[in-house]
Amino acid sequence: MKKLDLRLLRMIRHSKGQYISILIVVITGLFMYTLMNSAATNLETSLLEYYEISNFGDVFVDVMQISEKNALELEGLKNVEAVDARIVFDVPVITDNKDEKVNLRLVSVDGKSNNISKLFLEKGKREISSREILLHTQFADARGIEIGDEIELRISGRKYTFEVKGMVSHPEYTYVMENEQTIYPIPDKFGIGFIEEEYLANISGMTDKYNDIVITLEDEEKFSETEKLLEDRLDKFGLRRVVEKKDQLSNRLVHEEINGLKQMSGFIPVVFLAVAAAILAAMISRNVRNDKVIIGILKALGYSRLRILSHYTMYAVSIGIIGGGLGTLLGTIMSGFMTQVYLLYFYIPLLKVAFYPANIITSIVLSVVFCIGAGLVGSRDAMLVTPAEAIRDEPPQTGHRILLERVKPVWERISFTWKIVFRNIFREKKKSVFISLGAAFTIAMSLMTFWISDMMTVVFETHYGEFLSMDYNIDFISPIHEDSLKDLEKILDIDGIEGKMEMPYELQYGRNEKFVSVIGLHKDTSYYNFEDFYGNRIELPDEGMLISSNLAGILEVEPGDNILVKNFIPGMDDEYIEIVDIIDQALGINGYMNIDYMEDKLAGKNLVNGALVDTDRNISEDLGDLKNVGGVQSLQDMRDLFFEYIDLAAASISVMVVFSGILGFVIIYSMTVLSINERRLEFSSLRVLGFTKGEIFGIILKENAVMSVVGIIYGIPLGKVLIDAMRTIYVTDLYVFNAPITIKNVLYAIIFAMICLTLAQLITYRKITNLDFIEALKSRTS
Amino acid sequence: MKNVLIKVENLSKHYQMGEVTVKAVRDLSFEIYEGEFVVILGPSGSGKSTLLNIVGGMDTPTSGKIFFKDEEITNYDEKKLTSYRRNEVGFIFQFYNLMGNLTAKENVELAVEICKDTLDIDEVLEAVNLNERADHFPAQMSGGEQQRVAIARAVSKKPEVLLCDEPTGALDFETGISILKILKKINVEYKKTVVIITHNTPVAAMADRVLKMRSGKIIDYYENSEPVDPEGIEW
Repeated sequence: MKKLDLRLLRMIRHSKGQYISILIVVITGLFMYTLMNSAATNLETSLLEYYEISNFGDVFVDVMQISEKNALELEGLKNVEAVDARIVFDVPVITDNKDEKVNLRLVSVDGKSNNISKLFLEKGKREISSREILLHTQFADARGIEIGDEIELRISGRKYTFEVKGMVSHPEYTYVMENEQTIYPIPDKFGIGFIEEEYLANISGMTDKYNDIVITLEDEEKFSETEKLLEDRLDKFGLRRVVEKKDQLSNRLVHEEINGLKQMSGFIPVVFLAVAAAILAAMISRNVRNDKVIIGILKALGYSRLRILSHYTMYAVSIGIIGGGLGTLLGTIMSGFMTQVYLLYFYIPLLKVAFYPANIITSIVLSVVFCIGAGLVGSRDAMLVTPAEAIRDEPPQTGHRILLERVKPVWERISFTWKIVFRNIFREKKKSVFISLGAAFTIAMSLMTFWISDMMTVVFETHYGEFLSMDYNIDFISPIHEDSLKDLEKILDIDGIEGKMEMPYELQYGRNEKFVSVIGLHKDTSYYNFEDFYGNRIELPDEGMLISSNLAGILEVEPGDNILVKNFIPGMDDEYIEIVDIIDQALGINGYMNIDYMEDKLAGKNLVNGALVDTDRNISEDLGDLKNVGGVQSLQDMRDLFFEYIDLAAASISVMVVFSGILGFVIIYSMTVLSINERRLEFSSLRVLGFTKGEIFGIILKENAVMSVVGIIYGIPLGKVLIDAMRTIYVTDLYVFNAPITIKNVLYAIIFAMICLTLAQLITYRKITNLDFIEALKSRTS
Repeated sequence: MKNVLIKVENLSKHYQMGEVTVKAVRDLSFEIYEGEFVVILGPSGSGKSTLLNIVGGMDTPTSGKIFFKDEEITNYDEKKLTSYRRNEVGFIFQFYNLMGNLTAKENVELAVEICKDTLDIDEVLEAVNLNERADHFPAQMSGGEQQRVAIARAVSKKPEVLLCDEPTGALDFETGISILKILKKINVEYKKTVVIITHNTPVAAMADRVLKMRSGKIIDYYENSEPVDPEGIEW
């Protein structure tokens, strides 16, 4: 082995604490990069392959009612390749537990095969006839249903028993969500069932009536033109909405998750690698400065500048290669587990867990590039110094008074030790700034983590505790007269009921448009509490519309603007409606109107298609007996569900807390060790003067403490910047993260950062006790 | 007829030391011949080390020229200067300047492994009486032993000239004499030109020629008709 390489190895061994700590940062960064990137690639490739073989639809149409003939005539429209009409509606499942509410979405299918969004048979038989059903595998697994078992459903108020013939998956239900207001899939409470079309039509009274159409296009790019044609053609059939493939609920959610993973995999490793690179650059720069004479000797021996530069850069490169390799290896191994975790949410039958050479190479190259950069920046001084300069004694540093010294009343009251502390801070500005950055990073990242943890609870509690205050949200299969609600109130023995009209409309403002549910409520509704971003209560106006802030963002509207509401209800015209105010809504994207105004302008007189119920009773079973009741959402169920999932979220939050702690720990530890190593002569002199090891450690501790406090002070706004960035990145149709940063968040972050930073410093105390001060004073070797 | 190995013409060097401009060398001219043992004598700050660094290709002059075997090295670019230091010059310093985390033998190998034509390392270590200490680290060795490692490091790469900057400056009398003996041995047995700079006047007695410096200038220049053996030197 070349002797310079041998020296490098011994250098690494000598500084193994710092080396390993930086290595951990690189490994962590690359581990997360590979983990998330590979999981995203696993999901994406599997999903695309699944879509390909199942001939996933390009357009999804929701209509009130259309005949098969009229539906199939859509094939004559330009760019439409093939059409399949289906009956889709939700029904309650009858279970042994009367308190349990289980819903099944029934989808009609051809008894033998279907061509668009094909079923993927996983177990049993695909062919079905009357009284036979195919179940989505996730639902069957969650409820322990086997082939040959029977399942009882209440359809149009009557009980039907079906024999389970097979387990299937379906490309439109890779992420099985009941609706857009649901936070997570609940496989044992909501699933999908597929029933032979003719039989389902008969028992549901939908003979030759379809309410759902799936279409494939010849050219997906021309969706907008086709959308217009479909809207014109389907207007008279009560078009509810036309959804492009990218907006199909399940597809959109899976892609949002994949994109989120990709974004995180691009952001987190860069933070970790940047921190590792900064520490490495600082460390190598200090080594080069300490090795000045050695560099001179190497040059005197005839070593080229490039060889000397590479000697120091190799320190960083070795971290890049080892860290990149190990991080990538761990990430690749764990990506299989992470992909499996996603299976708790997504159901992709062809899920492939593979090794992606491109990801692995990118990861290692990324790591090595960062480390080479750090090495070159750190060792560039080795290039510049001439051999004679290198071995010449350094002139004494130019002395000058620091700013604080001019403030005599303060300076004169400071003890000798604190004077040393402040002088060092001001004279070693770069190092001091770096330590404060370490503290700032730790506090910012932990603040963000604690905020996320709280935010999930706040979003949930705000939405299901303050914004909504009903106990049940019921949807009717067909609209009823508002007066009928009084009968319902008596039948169910409930404390209160309010009718609502919820209809999908396309809202348009300028070039921006969005399909959303507009909800008509009573002016003095007891079940919705509208507030603006600042928490000021907003009344539902007599005329005009309130919209959620994410919808206002998409449409780019402000209060006072008039938006066009495109109406697909037969006989009703499109209307311009004024936006009266913008409300804060954590989950979902909606518009809200006074029900009378909505009926007048958009929906027709005195009809409601849903109800909001206030009761202490469990009315799920009673509701199941009612013929016209479609979906039922219990807010208590939503609350219970949330607390089931919060444990899983807590695990990932703990991981993030650990990572932010690692960053702060490594920065402070590395900088303190550097400081001790290069100030051996200074500390030796203090020892000669009679300072104890504890007092010398106290000086370092105080220097770091001052800079950590500075870091903590600007780390809090830095954390806010990160949180705002997260808010912006993650605002979707489903979520708005407006939870405030609380004092509790800040306190937790400060306590956590201080623990990490103190721990890092305590570990360096060993370096002080092990330092041979007398040897340091006479040492001339390096 | 002696062959000129190094020729210095009107050499000057000024450099910045903190806030002070130091005129270290002022218009020097002299020659060094092949196989000579030269001592450059002068007090601290007389410009000896600066002169040695420029002659060794470690520094560049402010003005003037240096020729090594008739080739002007003051024209050399960084690459050629590196090659010159690698193949033609061996340096020995007052404070040895060994790599602390390499053993004695590895310190010598460090110099040898970048040169094409070198001496056998074990033979050189034996010549400086270090073969039994070859696997020791500098911290485990005395100052004299460390300086002998530095000499072995410089000699083993077969340079034309050994440039020694106060080689006995950090050593006690007996050890200093032993180092001078080794340098003389290398001068005689390996036929290498040796240039020593020192402030220690008695060392001049062993030189073939002596240059005396003060304030960056040569103030005296003479040849010893009968150089004394290092063992006969006292200070």
